[in-house]
Amino acid sequence: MIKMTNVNKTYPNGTQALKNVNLTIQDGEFVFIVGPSGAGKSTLIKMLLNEELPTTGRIMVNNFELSAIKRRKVPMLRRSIGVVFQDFRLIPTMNVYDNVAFALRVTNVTTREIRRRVPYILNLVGLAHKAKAMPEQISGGEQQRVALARALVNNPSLIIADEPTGNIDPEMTYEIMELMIEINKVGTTILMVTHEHDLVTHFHKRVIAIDGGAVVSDMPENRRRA
Amino acid sequence: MTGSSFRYLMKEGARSIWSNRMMSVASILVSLACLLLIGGSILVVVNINSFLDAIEGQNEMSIFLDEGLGEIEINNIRTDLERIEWVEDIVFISSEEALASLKDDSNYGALLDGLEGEKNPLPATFRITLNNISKTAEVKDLMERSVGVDEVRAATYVADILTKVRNGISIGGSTIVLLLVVVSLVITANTIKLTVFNRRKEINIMKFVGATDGFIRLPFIVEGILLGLVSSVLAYFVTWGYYTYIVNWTQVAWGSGSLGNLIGSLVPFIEIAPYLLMGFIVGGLCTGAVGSLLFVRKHLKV
Repeated sequence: MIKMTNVNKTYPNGTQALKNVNLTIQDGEFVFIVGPSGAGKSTLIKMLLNEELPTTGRIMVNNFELSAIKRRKVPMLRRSIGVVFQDFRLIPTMNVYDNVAFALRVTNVTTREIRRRVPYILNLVGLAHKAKAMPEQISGGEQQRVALARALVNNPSLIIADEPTGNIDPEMTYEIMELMIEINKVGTTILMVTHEHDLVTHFHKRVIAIDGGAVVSDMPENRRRA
Repeated sequence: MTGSSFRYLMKEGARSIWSNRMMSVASILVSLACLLLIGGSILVVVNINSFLDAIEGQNEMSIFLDEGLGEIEINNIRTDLERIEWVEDIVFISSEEALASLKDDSNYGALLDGLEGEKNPLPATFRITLNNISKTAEVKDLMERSVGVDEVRAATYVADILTKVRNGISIGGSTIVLLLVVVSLVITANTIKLTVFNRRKEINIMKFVGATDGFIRLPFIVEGILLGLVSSVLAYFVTWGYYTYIVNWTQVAWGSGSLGNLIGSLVPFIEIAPYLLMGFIVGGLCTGAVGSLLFVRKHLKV
């Protein structure tokens, strides 16, 4: 669960990125975060990942209180979240299999378990046959599926996707979206930042709009269906 | 950390050397060059010192005794000499021995016949060598004031020059070595910094999938240690090669001629080898490990 209470963020240069943000995202929800460039979407994501701290206010993510989290607990928080970035962020010197396995290795999972789980996840995203390929040898859409596999392999309760379809072609975009919907169906919370209006209208999910650092609208899934 | 994670991180460090092989080769070459320069300077200083030792060893002091001294008085002088901490070697030559040796060494043996016994003009002598040539004047002064000593002859002028040269070499040599060490550290540090900077994205990704700082750091440290080890072992063998070549060359070139006698031979590599290898390895390992540790830390603050 994510709960932000009266969150404000002002950067040292004086830019106020978030203004009094209050929002709650329940377990198992699928939420789109939309808004123009510079609206504060990236800052919001950075805060959920503890990359930035709020200037004032409280943030709870998966039972971690982020304004008071100890440095050594940050890796535990991040293991409970799967992150997918617009630029995929795969490790260029590791093949597809190792990129996914890496997320398990950092959590001290045994080699035996890694050998069991990685092929399963790669199969799920349809990339079992590309396990040995290096990131540069596969397409953007495939790279994003590897990133998604990496985000999923730890069975996180929350997936944060920052414009995951921003760098891939429209056909692939829908494939990635379908995968996300499937993941959401098994109970994983999905928080997806996007610019793409088509996606938001096509998939009837909760939409939180941010502008000028403030939440300007929050439309629940059931109202959008109606 | 489990055993399999640890093995993985070790392997990861080694793998990363291969994946980033251009940078790895660059850092090995940089450390190699630095270690060779430092090793070379140390070898020069060691050899100059050994050369000075050889010259100093030949620098004897002769203490001529008064005529007609008894055994007790001679022994008193010997005791005086033994009490001086800088005296290395004491040889007593009686008047008879001095005469016999003069007869043997010169072509005028027959002319010296009949000078035995009371007519012997040669005084009994102590020939000593010092372990610290800079104390020549002091020892000379001390012995001149001893009862039963007629005259002390020592090359105080030569001793003076040698002392100055040795001091100069010590100060100059250690300054050069120290400077090279500092320059090497700066260059190596920069190479490591560049390597880490090249991989900052990788570190960033590791942070986002929940890797602890220790987990991220370990492969870099393993990498630093391995690169340091390779550079130091290479530096050792290269130094061994060129030094042995120089030693052999000087033996042939100087031969047993007067230059060879004067300079003596260079210090054999085997005498310096353990210290050099140890120094190289400790230097290489520490710079690699500490450097990686310091520069990775900067990128961990995400």
